[in-house]
Amino acid sequence: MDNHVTSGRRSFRPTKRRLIQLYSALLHNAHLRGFISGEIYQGKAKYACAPGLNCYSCPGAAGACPLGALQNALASSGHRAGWYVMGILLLFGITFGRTVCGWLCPFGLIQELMYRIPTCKLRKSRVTRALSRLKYVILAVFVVFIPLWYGLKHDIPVPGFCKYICPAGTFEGAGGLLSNPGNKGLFSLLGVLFTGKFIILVIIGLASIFCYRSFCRFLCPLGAIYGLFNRFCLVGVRVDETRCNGCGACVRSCGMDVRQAGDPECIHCAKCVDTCARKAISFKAGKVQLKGPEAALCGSGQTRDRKNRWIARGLALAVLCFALVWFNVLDPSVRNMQARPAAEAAVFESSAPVGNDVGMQLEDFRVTCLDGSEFRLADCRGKVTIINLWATYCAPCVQELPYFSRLYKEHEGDLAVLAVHSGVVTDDPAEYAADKDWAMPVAVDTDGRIFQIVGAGAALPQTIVLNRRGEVVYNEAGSVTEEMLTALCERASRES
Amino acid sequence: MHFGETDMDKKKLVRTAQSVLCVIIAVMLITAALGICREGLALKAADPLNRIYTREKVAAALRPVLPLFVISVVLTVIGLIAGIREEHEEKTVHKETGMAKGQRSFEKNDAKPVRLRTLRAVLFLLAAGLIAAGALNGSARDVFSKAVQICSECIGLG
Repeated sequence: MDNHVTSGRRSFRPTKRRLIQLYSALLHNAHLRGFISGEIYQGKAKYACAPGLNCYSCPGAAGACPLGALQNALASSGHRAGWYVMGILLLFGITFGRTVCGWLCPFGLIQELMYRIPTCKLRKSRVTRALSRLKYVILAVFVVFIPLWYGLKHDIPVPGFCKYICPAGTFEGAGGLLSNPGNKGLFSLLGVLFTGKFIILVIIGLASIFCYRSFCRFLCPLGAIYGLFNRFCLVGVRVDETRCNGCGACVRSCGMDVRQAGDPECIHCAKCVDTCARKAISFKAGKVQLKGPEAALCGSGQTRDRKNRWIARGLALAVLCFALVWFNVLDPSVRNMQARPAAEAAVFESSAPVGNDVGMQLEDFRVTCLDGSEFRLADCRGKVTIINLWATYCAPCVQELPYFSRLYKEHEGDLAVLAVHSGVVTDDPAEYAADKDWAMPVAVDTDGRIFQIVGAGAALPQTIVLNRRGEVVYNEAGSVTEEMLTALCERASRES
Repeated sequence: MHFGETDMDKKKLVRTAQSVLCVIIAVMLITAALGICREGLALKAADPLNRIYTREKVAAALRPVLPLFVISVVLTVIGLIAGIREEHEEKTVHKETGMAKGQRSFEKNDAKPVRLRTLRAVLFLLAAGLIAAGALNGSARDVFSKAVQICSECIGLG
């Protein structure tokens, strides 16, 4: 009975690897206030890519997703080469290889926790080994080919893997945003694409319950990239060939589809270090042994080792505390978010109060357009007015802008349209707009004032339709169809 | 609560019940999503301003799944307390024997350390060079601009 109690308690005690995984997940998602406010972090730390698969549209994400960044870099390779992302991936690859998957990736942790659900399990076999090659196909088709094809051929950024497959995006990004009551407007965006991705998420979730790390093993293109560096990365599992008798115990006890410890399928979880009876396997960072047979020191070595461990733990804790304070309190972007003024309740000649919700009168603004003309909202009284928020790097934005242009051409006397580019600029919007030959005026919201007036969130595109009195008839983020636009204009015209 | 060695049947029962529950929950979620989508598309065809998904529809669809989810959580807790675990023993070992693999890697890695260190150093330098070039050519700015906006398409919102 005593033994049972002890083993039961032991099964609850987290391993060092699990603690590091939790620590890493917390660091990846250090912007905890985002889960409460429903807004994503917009500070400078997002210049840096995080090593693991963690969607940058997750409200908690403190860094950029390397896979999403790579796809966007490939999509815009017609304009400039994505050296930065490639350098980052190379740096993570050569330093950690797939140690990222085993120790740092938040999505890997989620899968491991799901696998703990006690169900019948699918064991690894030749079929799973064959399936483990699928991730290289996904890498080639969805991460490389689709973004390159759409980017170079059509000049539209389409991140193929994010758009059609990525379960981390659906779970962390869409799930994180939609579950917040403040983002109920985002439900208007959901459609066929969401249904497809939700089904993929459920299937991958189910597979993770029955099959160990099924997404990592069969589908994850980031794991495929890191796997290429596995044999020569700095941190990872090493086999001492002088001790190894080739019994294969390490391979049999491993949950991944490895053929030998440290091969491209190995996530360097270091479980095999304990399995090896010959003490031939160790987990090292360069020459420093992190786990292995020689780690058992005696005398002064043991004391020094213990001291080093306490220093490392203290440092890790300090880093975590600093990150949590920085990303939730001190970061200038977070402070700006807190200081954002509420819509004024002043009343103009119309009886509607000033604001950006449906039924309210939109505050007046003026902006100089890219063609040099000036657009003033108050001058549009008497016309139905459409304001569209867009960006060159937003594929749905670029795809829907021709509808606005056509509508503007057809009803120019009776309709005012303004396309406002986000203040965050990558390609020159003037050059871009000139290329596309759009009829309506285009402006750049350099100081973010228009975005603030219309109540723009972080999601693009966003369309605002005003009736002839300047009152908001429609104000939602998400793509619109030509039919929707026509129907909205008719409604705005009727309400005037 | 613990199952002894003679209680293998109980463990099997918990595992089987949990497996069936998980599959049922997944099927219900998929069916609900397809149902909402189909119904929403029909509504949208009638009036383009109608929404496909609404909070109310999603809540109504999740209601029948909730009791099953609670049962599944309870079973999971029971399983964890009972220490039901799965080891990763594979059915068949790869055709090549472990001994042969050991010998092969021993032969292959003979003159490794020096070449490995050089390769790592070159790749580290290359990575640093690429990051610096990226910071200069504006590709770091591209990463930032994409990461600070919600990419509705990327996360499957549409």
